[in-house]
Amino acid sequence: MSALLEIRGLKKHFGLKKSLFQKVGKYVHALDGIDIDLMEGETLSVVGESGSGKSTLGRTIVRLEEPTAGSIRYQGRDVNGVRGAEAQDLRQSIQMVFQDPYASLNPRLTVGHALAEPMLVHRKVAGRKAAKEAVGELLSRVGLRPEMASSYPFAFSGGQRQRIGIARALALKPKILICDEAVSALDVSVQSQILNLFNQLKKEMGLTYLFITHDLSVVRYVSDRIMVMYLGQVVELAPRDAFFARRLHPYTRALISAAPVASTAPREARIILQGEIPNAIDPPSGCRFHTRCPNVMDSCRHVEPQLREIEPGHHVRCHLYTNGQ
Amino acid sequence: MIEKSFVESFSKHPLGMIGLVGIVIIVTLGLFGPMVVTYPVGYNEAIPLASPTLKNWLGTDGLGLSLIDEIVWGARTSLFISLTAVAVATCIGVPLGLVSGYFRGRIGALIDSVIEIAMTIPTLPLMILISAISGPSVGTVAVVIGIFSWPTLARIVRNSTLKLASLPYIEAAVVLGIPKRTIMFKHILLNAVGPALVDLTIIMATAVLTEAGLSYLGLGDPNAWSWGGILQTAFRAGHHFHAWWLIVFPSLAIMFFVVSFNLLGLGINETLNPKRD
Amino acid sequence: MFHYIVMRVMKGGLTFLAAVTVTFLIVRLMPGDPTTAFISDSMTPQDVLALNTLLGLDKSLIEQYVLFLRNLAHFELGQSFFYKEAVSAIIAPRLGWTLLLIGTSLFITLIIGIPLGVYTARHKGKWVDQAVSTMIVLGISVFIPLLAFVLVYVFSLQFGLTPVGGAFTPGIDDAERIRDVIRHMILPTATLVVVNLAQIVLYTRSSMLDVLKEDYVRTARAKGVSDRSVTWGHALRNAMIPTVTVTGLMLGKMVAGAVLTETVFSWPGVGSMIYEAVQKQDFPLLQGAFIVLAFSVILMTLMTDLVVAWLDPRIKLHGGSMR
Repeated sequence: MSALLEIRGLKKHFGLKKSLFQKVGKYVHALDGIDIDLMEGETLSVVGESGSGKSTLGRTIVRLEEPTAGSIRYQGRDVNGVRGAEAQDLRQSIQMVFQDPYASLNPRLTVGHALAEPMLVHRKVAGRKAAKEAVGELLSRVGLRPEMASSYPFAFSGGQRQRIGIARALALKPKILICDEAVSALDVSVQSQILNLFNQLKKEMGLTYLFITHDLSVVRYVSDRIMVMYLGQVVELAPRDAFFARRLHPYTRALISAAPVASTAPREARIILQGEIPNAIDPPSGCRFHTRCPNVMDSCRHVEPQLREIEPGHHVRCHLYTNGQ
Repeated sequence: MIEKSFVESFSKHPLGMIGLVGIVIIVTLGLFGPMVVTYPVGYNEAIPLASPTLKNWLGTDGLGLSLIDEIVWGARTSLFISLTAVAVATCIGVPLGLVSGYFRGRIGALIDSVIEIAMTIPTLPLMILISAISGPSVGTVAVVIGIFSWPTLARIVRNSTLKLASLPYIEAAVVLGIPKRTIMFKHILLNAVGPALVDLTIIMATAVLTEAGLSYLGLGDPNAWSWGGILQTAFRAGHHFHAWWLIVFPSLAIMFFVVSFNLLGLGINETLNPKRD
Repeated sequence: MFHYIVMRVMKGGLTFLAAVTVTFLIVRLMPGDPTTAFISDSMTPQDVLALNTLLGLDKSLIEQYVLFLRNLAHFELGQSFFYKEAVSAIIAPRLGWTLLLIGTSLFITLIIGIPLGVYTARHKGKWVDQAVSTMIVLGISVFIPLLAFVLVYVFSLQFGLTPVGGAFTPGIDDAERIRDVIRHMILPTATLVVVNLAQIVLYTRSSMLDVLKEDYVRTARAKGVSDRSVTWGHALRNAMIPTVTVTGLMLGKMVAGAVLTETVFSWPGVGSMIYEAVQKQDFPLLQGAFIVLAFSVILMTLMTDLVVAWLDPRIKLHGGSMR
């Protein structure tokens, strides 16, 4: 398995300006040094609360945002600063599924038009007729009927719209799909259908997923590996089973204990974090989590821990594990 | 492309529908009227300043020409002027609005400043200046009105674009590699049409009022029949006190045109932003 | 806030510069010999020479422009063909009359319009609202010369209540004068008020309706704040902002209305002067009138924007790029 995507030292800082003429004062540190490889054929879930930077990560990969620093390499080629035909090439390989099914489809375009458009723009099909056929095929693949191509989005339910959104993302036959909270806005019953669809499509089309979510039950269901983010940094990265078995980082533990479990069996005690999420404009010194960590030590306030591989494949950013414990 | 729901909601607004009916009447009159009615020209000795009779439904003017003929031909002029003004304003205003709303940074702000400056300059005096210097003609007036109407339209399109540009379906288009100009002129424009349409109706109504005003001030085109021109001739020659029909009917025509378009605009506005509780 | 004021004044300055530049270009680039705009047949050769020097008609466009701007800074607007006097001297007294008319109309419009807009917003759907809405549509569609004519016909000719035109009756002095002017002002002001009232009510009602739906209004009501206090205190302040903004934008249109109104009523302001200048083909006068009008409008718009800034705390804090 090779690495499709290699991300090194990725940083994204948003500048805050007061007006057109004032200089940038402060920055929001949305991403502060991300190193990750996305292996071919895997589903890597990115988990975190709002403000963790997980959405920014996805958006930066598809170039809705430009990185402030660091590099993103797709199949060895640098994604940054690419323009023109090369950029269009890359667009065909990395696509995105959006969160809100009621806002991710243009209400004034028919479904068929929305699906055919990327194919025609990138010249993947010979003409309108071929496009029509391809659209029908795409719709079937996501579990919809080809006749739906002539309807407008308002005619469809949330689940159906999300399927259309997925179909649109697949129109260019990408290798990587960034799913940005792709099921978060759906009813639970619909969620499982869409998740199954994701799994099915992955096998059929040989896709690789970056699955961004805040919902741990979803994570358990689809992931090969799981990555936890906090305030713009990776704090834990592990294969799924190891992740849930040996949750290392205190933040991870709190997350998992907070996830609702549909069971009447006695639950472990919930870890409730004290304090509020610190400001991404002025992150805490040392370990960013130290202001809320139940296991905080003195060193945590002053020294920033690095991401270390504790067991094969299992990485943690925490002083608890880097002092020979 | 127009959702059924829009047409349905619109038809429920009595005001908007009245406006629509009025416009249909005007368009019919303006387009087909001149084919039926002869062009008023020359001088009819027999019946100058005759009050409305069966022969001349609306009476005659100082030259003995039938007022109703003049009004019908005036409808065509009014339509021509307002449509030309709309065309000019759209060609300038819409692209500028789209570009300025889509490219936030410097370009956007720059165009917006231009729009704002253009909006504040009082237009009628400037139009008077231009007409006075270049000589009155229907075409010039129409184009000039269009040139002075584009800033408001651009501002409206810009505001819509600003709201739309950060919507997920526009971002999706970016990620899919759809070219920027397609995004602006198809994806965004299709959704920005609503408020712009309202402004277009206002432009049409204002165009006719402005032309009437210019004619009243003596700057109208003497070669084309226009409602304002009829009024002006009547006032000039002092007919207005005893030939009431010369004042009333052209004025009614103007009001009818303007009210219809304003109602249409209000109807569209209500449909788009329902303020029901 | 200070930052905003500076920016706003600069923008006003730029706008004025744009307006006069446009005027400059129009006069000089229109088809036909540009010099005819400044030199009429009735001038003596010395006049022509003097004018040439003043305006630099034989120099390049850029040099003319610079000269133009410099003259402007000295309030030098050229010489009227017809009156053979300095344009600025002719315009000055007339400007006062125009400002009087526009100022009074604006004041009355706002005094009536805002409460009316608020009232119809609160009583939406009831017959008062319907009636007012109908009048609004008629109001924005009115053709000024017609309205003026009707008013004069009814009130001046039939009932003899108001004078037919002009701003004053010559020969009346001080004590009576004020009353005389007021009598003359009634109809023209009424005309302007009718036209602009419709716009203001429309806008106030619309923005009031928006504001009344907002959550903070619901909260205030839930807190038990009296209805009147909610309307006038909380809601109105925020609904005012678009209204005041519209007033600023409307000033340009008001000027257009004023031109027509003054002409019909022979009101001796800058607007009617434009008409006279057109009739007499007196281009320097025409150009001067436009520049003066433009300046007034831009200044008034600037002041309304500053009022809006004072009302809207967001602008104070954020510096004003908040349209």
